[in-house]
Amino acid sequence: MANDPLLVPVPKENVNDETVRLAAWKSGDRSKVSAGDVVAELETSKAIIEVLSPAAGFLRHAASEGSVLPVGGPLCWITEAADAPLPLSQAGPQACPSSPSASGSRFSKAAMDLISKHRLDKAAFSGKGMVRESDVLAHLGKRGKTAVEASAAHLKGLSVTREDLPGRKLAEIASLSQGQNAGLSSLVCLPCPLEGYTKSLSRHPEISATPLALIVSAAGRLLKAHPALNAFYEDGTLCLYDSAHVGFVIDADRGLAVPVVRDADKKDLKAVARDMQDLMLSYEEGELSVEAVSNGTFTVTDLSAEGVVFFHPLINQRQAAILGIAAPRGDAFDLILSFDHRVTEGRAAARFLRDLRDRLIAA
Amino acid sequence: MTGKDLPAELSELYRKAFLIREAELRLLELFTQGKVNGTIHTCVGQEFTGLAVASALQDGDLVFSNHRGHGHFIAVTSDLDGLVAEVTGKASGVCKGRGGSQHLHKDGFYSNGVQGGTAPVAAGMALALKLKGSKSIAVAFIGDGTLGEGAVYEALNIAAKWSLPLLVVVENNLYSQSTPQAQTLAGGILERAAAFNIPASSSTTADPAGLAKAACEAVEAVRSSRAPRLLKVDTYRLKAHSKGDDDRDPAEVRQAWDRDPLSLFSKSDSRKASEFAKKANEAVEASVAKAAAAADPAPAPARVEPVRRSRAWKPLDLSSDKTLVSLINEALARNMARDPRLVLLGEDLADPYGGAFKATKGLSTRFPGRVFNTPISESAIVGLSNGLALQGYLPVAEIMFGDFLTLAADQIINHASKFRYMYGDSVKVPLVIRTPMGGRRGYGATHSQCLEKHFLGVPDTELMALHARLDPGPFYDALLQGLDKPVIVIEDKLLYGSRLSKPVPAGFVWEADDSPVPTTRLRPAAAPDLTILAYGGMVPFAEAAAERLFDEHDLAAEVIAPVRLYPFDPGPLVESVSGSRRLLTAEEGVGFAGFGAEAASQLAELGVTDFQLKRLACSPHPVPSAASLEKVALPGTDHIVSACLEFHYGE
Repeated sequence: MANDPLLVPVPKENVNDETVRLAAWKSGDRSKVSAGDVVAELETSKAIIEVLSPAAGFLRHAASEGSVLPVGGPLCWITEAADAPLPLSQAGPQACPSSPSASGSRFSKAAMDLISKHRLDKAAFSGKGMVRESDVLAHLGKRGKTAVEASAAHLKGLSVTREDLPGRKLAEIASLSQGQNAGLSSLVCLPCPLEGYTKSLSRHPEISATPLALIVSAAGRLLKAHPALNAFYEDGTLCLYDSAHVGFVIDADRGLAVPVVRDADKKDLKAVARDMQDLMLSYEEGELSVEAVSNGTFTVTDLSAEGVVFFHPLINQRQAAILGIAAPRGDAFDLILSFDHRVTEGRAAARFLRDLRDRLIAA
Repeated sequence: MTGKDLPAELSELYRKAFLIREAELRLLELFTQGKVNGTIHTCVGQEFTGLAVASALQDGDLVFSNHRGHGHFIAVTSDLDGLVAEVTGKASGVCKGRGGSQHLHKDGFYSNGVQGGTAPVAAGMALALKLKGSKSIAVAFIGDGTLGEGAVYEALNIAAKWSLPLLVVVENNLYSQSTPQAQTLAGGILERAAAFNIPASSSTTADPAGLAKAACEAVEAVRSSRAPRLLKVDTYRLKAHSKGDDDRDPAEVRQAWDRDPLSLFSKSDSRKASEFAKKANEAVEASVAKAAAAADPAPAPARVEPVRRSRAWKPLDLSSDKTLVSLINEALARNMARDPRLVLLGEDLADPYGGAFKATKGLSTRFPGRVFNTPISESAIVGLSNGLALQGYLPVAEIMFGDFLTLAADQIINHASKFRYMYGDSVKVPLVIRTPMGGRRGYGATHSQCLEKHFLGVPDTELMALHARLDPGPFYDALLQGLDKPVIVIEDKLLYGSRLSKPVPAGFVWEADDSPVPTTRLRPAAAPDLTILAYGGMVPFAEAAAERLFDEHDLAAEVIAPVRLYPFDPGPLVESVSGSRRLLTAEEGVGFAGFGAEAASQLAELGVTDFQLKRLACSPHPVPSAASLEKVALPGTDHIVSACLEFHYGE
């Protein structure tokens, strides 16, 4: 098998130059060279230096004479055959652009965000050297019937104070919006006896710091038996997850977050509780990684501490269901399941809740 | 010896010695009467040194004297009126009352009150004579006390090595102010000259005839050999160093008076002595009377130019894709070809090396005899340049690293910048000192500094900073064609390898105003939200920061990049900050009492007070060597962006 082309980078000759000029090629493109042959002359800020071929083969130019090359960038290759293919990403001259200034407008990131949000044509800003957020807003203000204007008409006579939503909230909106399956979600609710549940908890002192682990663990294990709830709908197909990664909602000082217990179905209760403690600690320290909140396949949200006795949890994107835990009313508390009706039905959802209740009081 | 058999020349020496003695004693009296502002240093007892040397000099010879120079001055110029008026602070003084006793200049005579630094300046004048092919020589009067100064040895070394027509006269009066020589001088004086292969001879003021002969031989030896010599003259100062500060043993001083040639002459030939004394007294009284009647000097008119509020801006030509160091090299070559007075001095300048950063490559080959490779002697590099400039040359000195400018500080601050004013506007010092500053190369604490603030605001000495977006070609063309004063040009190390043609961020344009030394600015197409004041090596970082501030933070920053930092033209900054109301100053050196502070103060004085200010500078410790430490210590793009965001989002 032929050797790969040997890259000859632009050498670093002194500490002052970030670029050098290719003064001359001493051998033509595709010409045969021996190891030690002078192949090029480079002009640094201090001197003309010669570049020697490190090997025998065919010289392949990566730049044209007179061009200014970044130190460390490709100067040439030595190949085994005159027409051996060169690495694709590297092929072609790599000279620094030497035109004084690229023409056209410069868009700030904020401006670009607005432009893509409103699907505007960047050409609308041609002739403007720099385009920033205020320019885009001004442009939007000039357009005919825009969403902004329509909403302004709706608010006519009412005074509003507009506040930017934090990025965290915007991400949450994006995630939930996609989970709302065109209004085809449904809701079932089942009381769970408080006494049986608290007895179960007392049998597991190892999770006294995170009692929710009992529900997360039980739900995770049940998902294997209720695969449609560990799934999502896409383009007319039901997509079933192979793993059961259960997210649980935290909403404390640092805002809403849904860290995920990986493979909750395969872990024992103690391991689930330990995972949850670690995740909560990361949350409190503001160090939840992207990975820690990604790829949940099912979600549990607990508002019992708020005294909420009933609520409607919103399904996350690419999930089929979310389990809500309400506060006790009398001697029971409600288990609420919000589910995507496109992948399952009320009866199946109710069966899941029943199985869950039974496990919770018998754990 | 009696008056009868005194040769005419010697008689003339005695006559002048009586004149000098009388003049200085009268000046002491005037001091006591409060008519001399500041002290004087008399040469009472040493008069024959100057007289003997002067008697051997010819028109065109040059003399550099010192703080004790009245006798030298009278001996060389015979201008008693000019001296008395100068010392008593009159407009008719040789330097219009600005120089005073220690700073005299007339024709080929110069003096300065700082010890040692005059030796390289005198050597530079000797170099000028040599370059001109003149038969004249230069003389430096120093004292045995001056032998404690290193600059003397830098000058002796170069004078010997380059064979310069320089006579160094050491007046050996045995005291450095009040400290006896036994405490200060190791080795011998003649042996010092021998170490440099400089022929030396010795004489004494106790023997005026012998001294005159020795001085004549020394002067003629320099004149004919076109090489340096040293003449040691043993002597004794009969009066105090200055006034009322004499701690010497009174018996020792009394014995010296007994050996005083004028006292002895008065004993041996009282008739002639009385005649000389009377004539001297008449001459001195006439000069004193003239000076008393003369007007006080008028203060120099204030040269403050009003701040221009409007100016024309045009885009900078950034088409050249040559490295900046090659553009500097071409500019030096172009101007050397245009003006034969232009010479280069510095370390390692000549081919094949061509300078540490290659700015002078090829020039010694192309202009033989005009590029001087010096020893490692920064004081002498600038000192010789001073002497050359005083004699009509256009020296361009290179200090290899800006850090070493401190070694030449005396020549810049006490010599180059002083001569024009303190010599009553009768001289010019056209001199360029090029030096690279700046870090980010890992050279560590002593090869990375930005020390410009220590040289900012030295009167009559301009300070300029090149940057990566300014073509040094037209800059040096203009500078070298109109040069009439010392100018320090800082060439940031990083700029040498950079090219003007590096793409300018889209949406921005680099412009220059219509001043002779332009202010440049990076102007955003949008109305600026803030102003960044940057110069020299900080400019590329300010440019990158402006790009990022817009792209990532929707903020339009204008970079104001002055090229001349002193004197500073605040007009463009006023214009920018009046609009943006936010100013970040970015400098690579230590910020305390730095350029940013000065610029902000000037804005306030000009009525621009309603603005937020932040100053960015390097960490207040020496520049570290490790890349990671250097990155934190020296302000870069990240620092600028963060500081600018603080304006908008608080800390």
